[in-house]
Amino acid sequence: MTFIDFEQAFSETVASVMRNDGSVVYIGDRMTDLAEEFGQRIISLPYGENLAASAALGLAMTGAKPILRIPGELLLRYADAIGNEIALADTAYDSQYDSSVIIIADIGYKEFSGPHLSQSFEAVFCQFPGLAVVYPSNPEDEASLIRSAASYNGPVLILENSGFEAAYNSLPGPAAMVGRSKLVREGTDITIASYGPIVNSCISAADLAYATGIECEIIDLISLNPLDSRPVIESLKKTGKLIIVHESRKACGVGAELSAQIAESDALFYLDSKILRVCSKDQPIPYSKADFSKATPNEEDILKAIIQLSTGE
Amino acid sequence: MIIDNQTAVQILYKMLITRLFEQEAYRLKESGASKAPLHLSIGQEATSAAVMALSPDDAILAGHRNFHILIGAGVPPEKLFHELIGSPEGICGGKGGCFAAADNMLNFYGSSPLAASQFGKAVGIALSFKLQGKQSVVACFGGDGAAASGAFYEAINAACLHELPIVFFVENNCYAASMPTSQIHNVADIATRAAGFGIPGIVVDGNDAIAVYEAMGQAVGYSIENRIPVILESKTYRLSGHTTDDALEYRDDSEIVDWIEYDAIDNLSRYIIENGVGLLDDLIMMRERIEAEMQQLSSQALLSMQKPMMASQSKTLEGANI
Ligand SMILES: Cc1ncc(C[n+]2csc(CCOP(=O)(O)OP(=O)(O)O)c2C)c(N)n1
Ligand SMILES: [Mg+2]
Repeated sequence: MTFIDFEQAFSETVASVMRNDGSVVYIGDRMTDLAEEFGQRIISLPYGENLAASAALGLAMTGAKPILRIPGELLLRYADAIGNEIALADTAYDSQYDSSVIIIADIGYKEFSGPHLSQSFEAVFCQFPGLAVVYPSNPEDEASLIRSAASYNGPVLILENSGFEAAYNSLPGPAAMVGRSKLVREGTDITIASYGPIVNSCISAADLAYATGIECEIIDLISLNPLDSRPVIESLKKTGKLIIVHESRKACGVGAELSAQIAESDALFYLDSKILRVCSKDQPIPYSKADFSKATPNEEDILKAIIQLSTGE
Repeated sequence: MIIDNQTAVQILYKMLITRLFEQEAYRLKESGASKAPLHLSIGQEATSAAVMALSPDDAILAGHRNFHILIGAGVPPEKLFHELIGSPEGICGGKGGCFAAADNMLNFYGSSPLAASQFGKAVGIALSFKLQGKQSVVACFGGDGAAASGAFYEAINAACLHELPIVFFVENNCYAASMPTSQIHNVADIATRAAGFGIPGIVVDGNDAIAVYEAMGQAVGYSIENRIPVILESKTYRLSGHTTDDALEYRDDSEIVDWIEYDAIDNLSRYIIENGVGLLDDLIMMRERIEAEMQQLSSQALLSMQKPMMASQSKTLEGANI
């Protein structure tokens, strides 16, 4: 099944998951067209971020499987209930209650959005033990991840960036799953580890590099917590070179964790050059197109990193 | 409604268990078995009566000060002693601690040491019950401090919109940590907040257990029948410190003495004796029996924790001999 965008992948998959499992309920405001089919299982709540996330937990604890759709820029307002209650409930209550809430949020950097509406919080939420965090690069993977999360035991945060300008690549390999990365391009010279829609920029940069004889292997991390770093380590045996690409800022980002895991593994000895990270600048993301593109990474930046590593400069 | 004799005695029994459990829990903690500061409910035990007014299928949620609610719901005290000292036999396997306690056998959907997190959860549980066509109420207990949080009002608003039977039981114990309630609310009765939502707001004497039992019964009945939330505010007093580490420098002894003289356990005991439900001697015997039982349960919990430790210590010694 192919989808034109994340929105379509989301709405069609949620509807299908709801048809298959009568315990799935949806909390959010974008599914009004499904209200007729699902009736009270489409729940709209008044504003109140703590309310929505806490109510989702209450639903999960009483046998429902809630899917909570929230605007990504409000994630920090939900963070209290997500990090302090949903993510901790299984441990605190010694698994007496189910806390499998699926949360879907559209985050990431978007042109003409300004600092408040351009935030990429994935690394923040990877700091919440008990919460799985996934970030698909394309709509098909988002659909697969919603299905995977629906059968996952525990809360899952699915992130997307619907505003990312990219031609989505329908990527090869098995269906995306919570906890698993995916090898999306084989190559022998440089390993690129990335996640989110910027993976598509990695692919186009790798296409350009291929024309000059450089073969990049690309791993779409998909699962950020737990971080599936093993395939990256395996790939480094072959390539000895690593570029990590993500939209969000470099410091304390997912790339920092991946670098640390590489440094703590045997892969440190496979590396024949330093690790490069292509990320956004360490600053709030501005509104204007010109300032936005200066602050955020793109295909060109990735290509530069590829050339830098292959020429050993 | 005139409460029957048996119920009155059962309520007193639970209140006494709560008081004596807490006193023993304090001793257990002071012995070094736990480092967790305890949020005791001494003085507020009549809230147990509100829990006893519920049916087994009703849902219960609480905040951090929860021993009286847990015991009122029927959680065995030994499970709480075990939890307190971090034993795997505790109510949450020693993983959550008492301030996070939950018990799925009793539809006790948990507590949290973070204030006001129960309110939104209550809405989710009530939504679930509605989807399942269940006629049960959600009893959501919280303090006067928690009732000043945005989460409280968000939850009531949603419960009104979705026609959810939830009783928000506000335990107004005159303080939120060291802050007097008068510095937290601009009204004398938190229950008057209900007017803005168009729902009933009821005030009850929180040191009159029978009144609490009856008010809760009425609130639950009204809430289920009319499918709306109700705020029930119980006026009581926290005789203990905010936690067991509290030096209580912020309040006058005279205030405490006044409330000791209006103690909920004494009030109910007097009712029982004056109405010929029981004799003073019976009540003294009941108290002594519970006290001994709490001591025994606490020692057993401690012993069960020490056993594996002693076993592992002796193993180390054996190893050293070789
Ligand atoms: C969200 C949050 N804010 C602050 C605290 C610190 N704190 C713990 S208990 C408490 C007072 C709560 O007062 P109240 O709701 O009246 O409950 P009581 O302790 O009187 O039973 C505060 C401020 C907390 N635990 N959680
Ligand atoms: Mg209080």
